[in-house]
Amino acid sequence: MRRLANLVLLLVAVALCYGLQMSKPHYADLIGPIPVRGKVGDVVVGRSFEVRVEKVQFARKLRADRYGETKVLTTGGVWALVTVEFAARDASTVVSTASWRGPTRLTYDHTERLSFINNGFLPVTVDPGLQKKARLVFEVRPEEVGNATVLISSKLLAALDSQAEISIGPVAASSDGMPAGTVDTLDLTQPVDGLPK
Amino acid sequence: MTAQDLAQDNRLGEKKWRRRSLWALLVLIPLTLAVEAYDSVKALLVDNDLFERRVAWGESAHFGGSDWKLTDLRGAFGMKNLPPGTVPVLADFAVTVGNPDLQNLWLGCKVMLIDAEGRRWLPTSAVRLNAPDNVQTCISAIFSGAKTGDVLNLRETFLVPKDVTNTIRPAVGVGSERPYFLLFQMEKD
Amino acid sequence: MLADFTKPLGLTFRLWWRFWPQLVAMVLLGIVGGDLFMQIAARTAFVNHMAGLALLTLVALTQLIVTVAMFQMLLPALPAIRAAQEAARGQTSGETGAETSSGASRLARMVSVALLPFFAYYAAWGFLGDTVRQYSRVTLDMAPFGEGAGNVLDVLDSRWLIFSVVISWLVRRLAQAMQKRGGAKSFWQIVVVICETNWIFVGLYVISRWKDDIVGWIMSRNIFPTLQAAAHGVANPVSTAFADPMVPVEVTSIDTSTKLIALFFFMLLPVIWLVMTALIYGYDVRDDKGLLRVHERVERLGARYRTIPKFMRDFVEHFISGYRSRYLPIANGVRITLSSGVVLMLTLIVGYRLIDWLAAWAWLGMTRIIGPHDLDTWQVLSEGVSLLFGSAFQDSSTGILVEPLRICFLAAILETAFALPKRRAVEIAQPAGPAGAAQDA
Repeated sequence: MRRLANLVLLLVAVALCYGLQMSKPHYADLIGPIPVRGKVGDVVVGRSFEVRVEKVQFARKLRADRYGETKVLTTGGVWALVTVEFAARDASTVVSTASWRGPTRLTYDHTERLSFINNGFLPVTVDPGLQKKARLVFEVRPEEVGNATVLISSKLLAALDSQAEISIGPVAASSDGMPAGTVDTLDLTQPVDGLPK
Repeated sequence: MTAQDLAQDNRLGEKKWRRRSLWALLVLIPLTLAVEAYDSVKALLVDNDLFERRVAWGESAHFGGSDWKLTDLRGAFGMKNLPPGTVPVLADFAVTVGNPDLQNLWLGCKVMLIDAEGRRWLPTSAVRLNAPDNVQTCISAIFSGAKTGDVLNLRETFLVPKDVTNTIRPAVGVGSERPYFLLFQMEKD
Repeated sequence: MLADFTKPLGLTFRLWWRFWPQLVAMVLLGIVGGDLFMQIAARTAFVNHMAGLALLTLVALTQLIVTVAMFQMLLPALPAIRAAQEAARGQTSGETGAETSSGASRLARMVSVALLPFFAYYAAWGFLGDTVRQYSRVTLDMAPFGEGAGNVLDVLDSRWLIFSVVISWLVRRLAQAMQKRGGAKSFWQIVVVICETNWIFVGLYVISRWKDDIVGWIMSRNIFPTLQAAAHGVANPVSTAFADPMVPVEVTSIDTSTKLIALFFFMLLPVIWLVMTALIYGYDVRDDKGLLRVHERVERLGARYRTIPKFMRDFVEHFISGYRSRYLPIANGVRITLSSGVVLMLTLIVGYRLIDWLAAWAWLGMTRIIGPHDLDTWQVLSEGVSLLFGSAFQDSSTGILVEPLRICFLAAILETAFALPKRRAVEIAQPAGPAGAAQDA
């Protein structure tokens, strides 16, 4: 009887220790970014910049200008296009990283396939008191679209700096598995802020 | 000495040490913090423009081995293709080079505009204005090979909201002078 | 049964309340001292990598002295442990009877008796790796692009190492001779300790590195690819268990056996620390007859090598005794475990890990309270947070709110174990105490 009680206690202790081991924050967590949460339409105020997500669109293809010639970018998943408005707070700064965290915590970095466009995409220079629009573009799997979170920070490894975490909310799926409202082609040739280049 | 006396003695000794330790903490805690944070505080000071040195309108200041003078600060109103409510601002400096080792003394050169609330604007690349050939930026001047006695004309272009144009003041920071930076006053100040 | 659980917890807080100013002051002294020696070692490393490494010994030594001193401070409040010490002293009165508890002699005894086995432990369980990592961090900070210093740890792979060990050995011989001649005895004693520490420090660290290389070489032959993962776990269990701060995505699906090994060592560390505590309080592990028999067999094997030069023998014996003091106390820890009750041991393991866990969460909580700042500012602020809760690297650097509590908790567990009725009976029958360990110093 006593032996059984001890065994039960041992198992409880092992379970407790496993819990402690798993839930103990490690170095990367301690010096990781500090989240500032919000949802689409909110002004999310971080330390160095504030950001508001205007809209989220999905597309099978993107059309972009590359040195005067039109280029169409396809994808095996789906393009998620997030239109945002930035402003710096105390000083001019650069917002340079964004990622898309799906419901299963799979995280997709901002695409690098559009790095030939240097205006309206990351990295974005923002100044105090001046709103600036930009597009964040992610290439994700269709099932990672609903209830996703867009993470935006001023730089990669923003140790103990704020990171905007904007939840996208549920996205209905259409019959072919793509998110509802997915368009065939999104045109990126028009500047995001409506101003001619 | 009986065991009881000994115990009492120990107890008194312990009390004494407890009191001493409490006093020691008053010294040890600041000391430890100072020792541990020394390098970080040093890095904080040499990397940031923290304390301003005011320069009166029309005067020049010795900074980073050279003499800096603000010659002009003006808005370029009426430009098209800019976001509404914004205005480009040009800041012109005349710098008389003293120590020509600009690559070390001017390392990390940063020209900015600071408004009444302390907000800071850095030069913009969104606006390109035509400038005379002898005008340089702070960074390009570092590699210009200027010699002692040369006068460099520096110009930086900024984009700021219209409502702050009255309160902004230009400021300059260089690596060799941080944490201090120059804050140039205007004529009306 | 419930008392086993509540008694140490109550005692922990009573000890902490009674001694916190002394304990905190001690931790602070340790931080300042360790930092000072680390800076000296790193600066010396710019001149000579070998000398830097030798000075690094002092960093580890400071940490150990502080830990030992903290445990010694609690002694007046631990009647059961003191009773056991008295009993042991009574039996070996011939050697230690003259001892009075004056400060200087107590320190000398502490250094000569408790430190060496404790240090061998420290080395064998990979805490030295933490110190070496801190060291290379500091030198990297001083020369961010490796200019001037290069890799300061390159000496660990060079044959100059032997040179350093030879110097230590010669100095040690000299110190021993001086000690015999009398005069400034405790000074020479400390010199001996430092020299030996240097051996163990350099030697054990290098052996652990070479071992990795050898295992790596065998693995690269692809002989038993399927055994690879398991063998790595067996060959390297401690470092695998400790060196996991960065968890990349692939590791989230690591196999169960790796997880179990990690969990085992996660739970074993508190027991190791309890044994260290017992060692410091002079409860000598080498007096265990059953365990000694195994050891004697090893020594008899060693007797055949008596013909080899004394220098080599000294050197080899050192590592044998290093491993002896690593494994004997573990076995002994198991024995203490069995005799002091499952509840108490589980209280120890969970409680120790809980302190650890709370410290990590307190660190995280502080970052949320302080909020985001730019990196330069946070660099300064983090020094303050680290002072309270220990370094964010979660290596062996300690915080003033965590370390005293940990020490009090360990002492309280041991005190409870000694106060158990059945333990008492065993204790009186068993010769123990610092005298037994003295022969090793």
